[in-house]
Amino acid sequence: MAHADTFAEFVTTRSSRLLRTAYLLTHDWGQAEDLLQTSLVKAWSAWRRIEADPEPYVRRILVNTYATWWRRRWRGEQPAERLPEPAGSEPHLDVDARDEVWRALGRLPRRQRAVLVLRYFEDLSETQIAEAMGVSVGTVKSQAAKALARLRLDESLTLEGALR
Amino acid sequence: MIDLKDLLDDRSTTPPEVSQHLRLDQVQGRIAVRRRRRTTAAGALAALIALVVVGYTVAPGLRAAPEPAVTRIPPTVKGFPKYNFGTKVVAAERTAPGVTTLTLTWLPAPTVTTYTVIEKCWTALNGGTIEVDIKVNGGPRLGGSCGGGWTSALDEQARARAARGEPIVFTMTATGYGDYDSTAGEWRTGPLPADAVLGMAVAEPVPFADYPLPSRPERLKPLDLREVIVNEGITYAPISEAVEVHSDPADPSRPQRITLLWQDHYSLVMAAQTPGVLTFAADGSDFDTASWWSYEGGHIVRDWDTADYQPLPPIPGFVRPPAGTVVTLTVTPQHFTGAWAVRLVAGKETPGRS
Repeated sequence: MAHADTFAEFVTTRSSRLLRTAYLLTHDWGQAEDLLQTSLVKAWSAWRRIEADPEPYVRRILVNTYATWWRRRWRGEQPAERLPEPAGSEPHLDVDARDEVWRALGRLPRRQRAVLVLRYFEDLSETQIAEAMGVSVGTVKSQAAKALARLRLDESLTLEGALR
Repeated sequence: MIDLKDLLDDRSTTPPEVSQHLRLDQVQGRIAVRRRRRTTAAGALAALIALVVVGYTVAPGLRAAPEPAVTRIPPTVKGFPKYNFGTKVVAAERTAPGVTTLTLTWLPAPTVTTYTVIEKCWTALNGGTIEVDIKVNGGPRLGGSCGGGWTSALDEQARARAARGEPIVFTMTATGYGDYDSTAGEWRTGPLPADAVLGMAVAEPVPFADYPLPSRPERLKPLDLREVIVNEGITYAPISEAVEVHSDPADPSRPQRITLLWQDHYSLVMAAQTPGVLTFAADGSDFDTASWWSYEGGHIVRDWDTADYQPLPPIPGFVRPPAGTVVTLTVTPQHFTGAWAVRLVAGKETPGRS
């Protein structure tokens, strides 16, 4: 199959999942689509050289493009000073608590948010996250620990499939 | 109890109004645009070489002529365009191949209030990126892939040091080369290639009258305000409520005024057909400008965090209008010889946004 055909097939069949990842990073569907398309255009330039599954490669571009976006913007990284209160344990408060966690995720520094998205949404291991983000496994561990500490999720969140 | 995995899965469920069926066409369109740009650049270079060769071959008598060549090659300083987006490179350095640290020293002129740093790295390898760490006066500034740059204000302290002859020192250190290993199916950061060259430049703003503008094309590009606004932690008003300010078709240099109920935040998308400068004033006090330096019709995207707006550098006399007050916004154009337009989209700040 020609490279153009495999690329088209990838975009058609596989990119909807990456759009969700992009949304979890940006919290905005318009930005997510722009981020995904930008990443796909970048991936096309190296498409001929990709012999294995292209998804890890595109995901890597997506995560790094996201990181580059913040770096190039004048606002820069502005982590929140105030942290959300821990989510309550009463069932009727669960919807509010989920909103609170979602908003808190949006306030995380971007690399920390990326670590959580790659781990808990993409189900990647620490090693895979390190490869995707171009950092060491130690950095992944520390970023994940900081992210969870910021979220104060220790008691309110089920750490299903905790970071390996 | 909240399961983070479940929450992420739930929140990222694509809503039905998000259209995905056009993505392939849009991506292919972007690729085509990029290819056209490269082809155009390559074609222009080829045409330039051809002109030089033809001129040299066909008109040998001109070789000794004292007149300069007709074709103007944009000047560069150590690989950086000397003039770019209204700035002029005033200091630049590039390393010899394989050298891992670059030091650039810049003594700001007394009148300089802002500066732009440009990073550029070269290697024969394709596909990957040279990874660098950058420090300013010994303090960490940022790290990541080499390329791009940033603009900063020169604070009073730095200006005072400059007045005493103390320069600003930028240090760029290469940390490796990141690339995708297609055999292993992994992205790896490896050693720096032996041919890697690091480059860095500092540019200062140039007054409009002193800037070498390109030639005006026969046909100007149409205005296009469609641009994705990228911001987090801000809830935007519907695009149907966006406010637009357009130039007077009969006189693009005529100021335009609108009345706004001042909001927490504005995101602006601006476009202009020709070089020129827009100055924004709130109730008569100038507080921002936007400049175009070509006929490419490019966008400028700007954010006004009006809830805590702090112009860089600080503007004496400017008082931020409180949110909810009625403000007369004046847009004053200068130097334009074509149309310009501004779209303002109001937003509400979310506390603690990142």
